[in-house]
Amino acid sequence: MKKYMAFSKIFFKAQIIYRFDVAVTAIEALGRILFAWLIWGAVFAGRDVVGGFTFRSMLLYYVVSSCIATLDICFGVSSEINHEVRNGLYTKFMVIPINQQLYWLSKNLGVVSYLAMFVLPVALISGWLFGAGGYAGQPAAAILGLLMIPLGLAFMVTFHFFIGIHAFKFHDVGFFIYFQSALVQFTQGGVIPINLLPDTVLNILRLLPFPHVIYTPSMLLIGGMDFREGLFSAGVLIVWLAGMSAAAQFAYKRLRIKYDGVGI
Amino acid sequence: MKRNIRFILLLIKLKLSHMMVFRLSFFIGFFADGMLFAVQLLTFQIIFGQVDSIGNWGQGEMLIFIGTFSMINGLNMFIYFFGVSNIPRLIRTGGLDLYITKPVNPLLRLTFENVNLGSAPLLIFSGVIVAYGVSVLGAEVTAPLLTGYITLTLLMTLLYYDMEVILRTLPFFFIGTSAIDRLEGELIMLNFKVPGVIYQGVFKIIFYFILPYGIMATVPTQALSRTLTAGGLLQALAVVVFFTVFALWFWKFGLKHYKSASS
Repeated sequence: MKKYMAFSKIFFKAQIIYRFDVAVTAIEALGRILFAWLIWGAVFAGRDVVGGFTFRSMLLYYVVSSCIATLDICFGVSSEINHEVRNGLYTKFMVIPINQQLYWLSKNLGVVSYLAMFVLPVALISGWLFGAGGYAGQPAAAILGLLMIPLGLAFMVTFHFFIGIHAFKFHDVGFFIYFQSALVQFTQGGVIPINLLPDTVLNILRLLPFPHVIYTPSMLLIGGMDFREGLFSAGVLIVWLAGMSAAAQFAYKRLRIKYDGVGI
Repeated sequence: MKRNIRFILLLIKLKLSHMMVFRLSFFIGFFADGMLFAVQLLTFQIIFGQVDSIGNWGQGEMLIFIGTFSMINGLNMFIYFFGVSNIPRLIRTGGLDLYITKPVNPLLRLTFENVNLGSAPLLIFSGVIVAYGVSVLGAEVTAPLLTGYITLTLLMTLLYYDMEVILRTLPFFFIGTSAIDRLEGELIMLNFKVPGVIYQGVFKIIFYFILPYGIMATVPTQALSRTLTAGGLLQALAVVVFFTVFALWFWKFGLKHYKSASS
């Protein structure tokens, strides 16, 4: 475990070099909140409640969900693996005595920890700037929401690792990476709160992991979901995380032998 | 002019041969943007499930707006995006040397050397969305109106091009511009989702005149839904002319500051 913590530390420190880029990434969350403020401001004109949300609680949802979405930088995992495999450069990872999945998890932990230092002030400032509502739920639900954020991000890293290593077999999975990205973002609740969807769709989505990466923690943190519902969601997420980890390990062992790398 | 057209056709032919090598990558642009717009459509369908209008726009206008932005973006991906987006890398690595030493306008070559035919289906998809929006709106589309809409859409594609060239000329003066690229992406995404008619006050000034992404799909949509005023049309035309002249001047100005690979 010590070596993975060392990876996290290295990548945390490396972010200091790119601090301007990191700061811009954090500020990107403001773009999403600005979108919410403009579009929902027009939607709520002359209305008090839409889909169970008041304007202030809708803004609070976007403040929280945008910040979690900003921390979800896992798209880079599959893209980087795809790029390195395609160019025959993944060898540099394979020759190190490490568990590949844990390496990507620890790398992301380092980067996200640094990013979080920028995201938190952005959340507070944007909440104040756009006049978002305050927290009005159970403390236990909020704590569960906070705990679900790292779990969800870990799932996303594993999911993207799983996609990325398929480049060993297909040589280029860029097609699939782009294809799934908008769809996953939507089902995560990163575009709009998914409880605005019809109940049938919502019931199916509850069993998938993606809504529990952004939507569920956001709702728990703004007081829009009770603890019991959150507990069920956390259970679903843990089962998916365990399943995806096992699938990724299995796929890596099977697919790595198909790799034609530089220096092998 | 004839020589330039022959040159552009040759670039397209070369690009097609290259694309045949990576056949699956051929449609990446289409699927990436196609999914984005499908999600966009779904988002507004859900919002319109809750309310009747956003600002003064109903579902019909919103569908035309999404289809129009998708079309402008499709044209951007189809014609120039993959060429123009290479400019910062070429400046940084000195690769622009190979362009400025050839007996052809470097910007012309950069614009057309990476035509992406894989984005063509997105144009058809966008056209279908616009047509559906018109039917939802119940608007009568005459030939002059359609011609006006197409002309405005092409002009807004030119404006989109101008903005891309301006932002990608900045690396002549600054080394790191990835942050600018990402901010541009965020601004485009914001304006894909928010119709220009919603902007008021300072946002209207920013997104209509300084970073005019706000008018790109809004103006053609207003034309097709017959809500575009003469003042609005003139204002949009003035913005396009100004940014086109400025983009070409700024590119030439930037080239003078190019330090090349060997200096």
